Amino acid sequence: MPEPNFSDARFLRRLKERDRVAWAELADAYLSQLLRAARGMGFTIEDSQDLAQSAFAALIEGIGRFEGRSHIRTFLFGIFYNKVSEHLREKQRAEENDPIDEVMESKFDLQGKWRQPPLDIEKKIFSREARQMVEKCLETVPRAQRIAFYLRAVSEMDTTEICNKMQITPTNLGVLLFRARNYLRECLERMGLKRG
Amino acid sequence: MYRCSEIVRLISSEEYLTAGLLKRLGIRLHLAACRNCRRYARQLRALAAALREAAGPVPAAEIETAKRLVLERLAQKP
Ligand SMILES: [Zn+2]
Repeated sequence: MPEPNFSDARFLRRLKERDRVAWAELADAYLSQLLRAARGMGFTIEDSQDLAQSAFAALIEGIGRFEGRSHIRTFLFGIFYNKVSEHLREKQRAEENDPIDEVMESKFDLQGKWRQPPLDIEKKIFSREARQMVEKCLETVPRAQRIAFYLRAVSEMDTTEICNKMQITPTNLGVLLFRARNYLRECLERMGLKRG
Repeated sequence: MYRCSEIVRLISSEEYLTAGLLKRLGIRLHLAACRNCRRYARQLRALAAALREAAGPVPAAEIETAKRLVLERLAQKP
């Protein structure tokens, strides 16, 4: 769906005047994106609604100060990511120990070589039930890891930006990404074993 | 020469992105020589694609609810 020109000064004035039609257009353009991002990061339907609502509420409140120097989508998503990171301030730093670390260690021999080749998960990933399986496996990935992975793989943010948004160090982010990917991979591998 | 376990860590943490030239060359050399790590690297790329796929569209009813709430909020006194 092509986006209307929200950077236009006239449109911005209508937003500032609380023009209902203008706000409805904005909601049509971005609410689904916000909800989708929140769901993708593993938030429940209720929490996703809360996050999207509080982002829009902050935009409604702050629109008077918005000068149109950045795109309004950038502005809105900036607020949204702040809300997300508020939502898990304590949880987002990488825990010192995570069970997946041991699982990964056990895959290699003393020389650091694969004990056995990594099992094929691609057949699973590209199968018809893939989406369901991936969703199921994602549920096993701890929240902060999942958010980091989502921002990287789906939002395609660069790593510096993710570190800023999540207020973590690059080392922390590396740990989160390592764990998220391997949790997901392991889970798919196990499902593959079960179904043959 | 890197070990497989190190390659797996470098790739899945994306540490290779900020690695220097020498390190990156080391990773490339290992991947060229090691089938298992190549396979692993390919699987990670597929995982990212699967994740994008799994983040499917949000039900229309949820979007409608959200929109109604936004417009209600707008109607409240500033
Ligand atoms: Zn290897």
